[in-house]
Amino acid sequence: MTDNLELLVERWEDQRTIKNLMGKYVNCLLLNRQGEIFDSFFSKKEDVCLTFNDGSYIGPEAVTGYFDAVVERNKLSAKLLQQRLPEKLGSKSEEEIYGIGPFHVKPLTAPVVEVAQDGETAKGLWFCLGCNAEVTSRGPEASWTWGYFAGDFVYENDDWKLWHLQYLNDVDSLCGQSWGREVTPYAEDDAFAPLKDFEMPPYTVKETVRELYTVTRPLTETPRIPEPYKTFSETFSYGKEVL
Amino acid sequence: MKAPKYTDLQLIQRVWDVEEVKKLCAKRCYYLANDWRERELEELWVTGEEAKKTASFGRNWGYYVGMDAIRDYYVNQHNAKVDALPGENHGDGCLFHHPASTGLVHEAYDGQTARGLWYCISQETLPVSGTEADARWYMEKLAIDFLKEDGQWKIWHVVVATDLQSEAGQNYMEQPVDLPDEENRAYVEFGTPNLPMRTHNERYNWLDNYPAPPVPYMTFDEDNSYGPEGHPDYCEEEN
Amino acid sequence: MRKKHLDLHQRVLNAAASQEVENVKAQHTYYHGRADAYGEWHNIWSHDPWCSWGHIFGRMRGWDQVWKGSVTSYDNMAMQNSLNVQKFYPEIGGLDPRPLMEASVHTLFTDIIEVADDGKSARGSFITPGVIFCRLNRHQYPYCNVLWERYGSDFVLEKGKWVYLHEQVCPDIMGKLDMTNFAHDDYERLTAPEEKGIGPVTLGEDPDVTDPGPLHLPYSVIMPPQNTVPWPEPYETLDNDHSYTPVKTFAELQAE
Repeated sequence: MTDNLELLVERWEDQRTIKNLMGKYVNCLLLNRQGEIFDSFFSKKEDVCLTFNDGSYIGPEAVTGYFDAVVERNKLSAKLLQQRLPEKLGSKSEEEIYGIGPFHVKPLTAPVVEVAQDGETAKGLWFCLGCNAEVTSRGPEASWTWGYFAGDFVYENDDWKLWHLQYLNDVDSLCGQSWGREVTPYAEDDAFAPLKDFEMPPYTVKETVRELYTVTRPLTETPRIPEPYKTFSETFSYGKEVL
Repeated sequence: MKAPKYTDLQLIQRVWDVEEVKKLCAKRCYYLANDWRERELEELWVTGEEAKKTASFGRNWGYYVGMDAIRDYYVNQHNAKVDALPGENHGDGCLFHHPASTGLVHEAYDGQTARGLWYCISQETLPVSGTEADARWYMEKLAIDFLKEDGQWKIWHVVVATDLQSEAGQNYMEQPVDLPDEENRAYVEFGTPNLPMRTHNERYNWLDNYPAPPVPYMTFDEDNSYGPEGHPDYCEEEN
Repeated sequence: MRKKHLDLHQRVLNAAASQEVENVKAQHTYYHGRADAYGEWHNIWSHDPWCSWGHIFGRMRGWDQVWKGSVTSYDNMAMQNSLNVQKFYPEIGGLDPRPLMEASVHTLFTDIIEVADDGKSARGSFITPGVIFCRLNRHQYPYCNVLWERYGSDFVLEKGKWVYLHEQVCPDIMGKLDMTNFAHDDYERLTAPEEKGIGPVTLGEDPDVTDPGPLHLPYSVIMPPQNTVPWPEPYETLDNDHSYTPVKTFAELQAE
């Protein structure tokens, strides 16, 4: 490690800022403020990328499109809950009920953050012990979500921004039942049938990035752990290129 | 205990020491999830000959002391048990999630060692047949002593104190107050340590305060460590 | 944020302060896990007359009120509990009744920490997946409640030591390990209360407060997520715009 005092301080501030940035990101998920995420936290780079278990959104338009769709889904969930519970929600405006239903609690821990020696980029990996409420065609239901956030970050206009982000789960299974045994889904609820027809935008690249846990799934390694590096070209990427 | 006066450079280096120690603990979580136990011992644990002799891994029922004993339990016995599970290949259908949180870390004022305590809301999932697995919550404290070897932080002593375990989707309240040993998966997993002793009695919640949170300290002292000598009930004559 | 507007010495102190605050917060978890309220409030809290502690039921303000609600009343609960449990488990006679009451373990995730530019205070928000468990109790079966919360915490530097000044606790998810589905259960309580009449786990008797609650409510399908403890942003000094408990004037307090 260097004995350059200023560099040591700056790199420490960098890694603290990156932890804070990821904290703000998951707080926005919890608060159903997905509509703010792209402008607030993502880089202006053309190859920004957001990856889930079964595919990646690549480029600003695709990533923004994903978050916009989540907002639309939130609105639909709220509207259906309002229709289902008129005595509780009937008098409220669309604005007042926005956000009811989904509750995406994604607590992060065990950070491994590496800031490049050149201070231009950084990488981070977190464990996520999630408890995720969603409104589905079966009504509101909560799931345990055990997984990982892994990201590349870039220093841009005097601030750290998200460049490539992976959110990959091992487990996404109803709370109150074992993810190791056959899970009994709740019954379909006609009040929420329109959610069945709601489609998220197609991935830019659709592929199985990580299989969810099943009893026959091979032991599956976590996203690669960041290693110290000098400059981004010398390390791996959590992003995805469009071929 | 009053902290020495540090220059700005010394202080920021100590800040980085703590950051590196926390990162090492976090890396161990991913190694565990990947079932890289042999790699963990090779890459993250102490390598000096003297330190390897005193390295230890403790759970509620005692300690494995010395890297050979630790390896036999932590790698060899573990691998044999996992290999015996249903599934074609090692680790099919397994999850080993022990995410460490709530880190409380103190570096010795002499900068040679550090001590940390974490809490893990954990789960391990092991197949019991071709179609079902026993997914099990574990609540556990994780305490680690770290040793600086040639400028690199290494794991020296580990204690995992399990507070409770419960199968996912089951009502924990239906468990007996004292889980019989043969039904206690953590007990069965731990095998027979070369230094058996009751280190943490979960019957009384955190009454025994073991492992205790670290406090600021000047230099390493085995009597205040997460090795067996640091346990209040350790008796040198008996061991 | 690279704090180049500060001198290097202050930046070093603030980096160390950020870690100190993480430790103070973790100490809280380990004290609380042993129900050692005396240890917690004696060792890691400011005795400032404006210190505060808030929960669903409201906010205690001032050292005396916080001590009575958080230490005296809490110890009282532990002692009462011990007397009850001794009837079933005489072995606990003579043992410290506090940790035997239960282990309330609020783990710390998602820390967002900012130290003031002036180095005199720090602020943090956290998501806290937690468990509250106990084996020996009057029901004679073990229990483990799941309690996920968020924290907003202000800390101050007093005589060279970082201590709590304000804490706001926001319970979001409550249940029993591992038999509840908090979203579906809440929906059922609203749509078919006759079948699902049992509400979430309650939190015991409310202490005296200065700011009456509810200050925050647990998740419900009929309520948007509350931003009761917004994450801290970089700031210069602790003031009413940068605190989880804005200070009220005496007149404002009297008017209430």
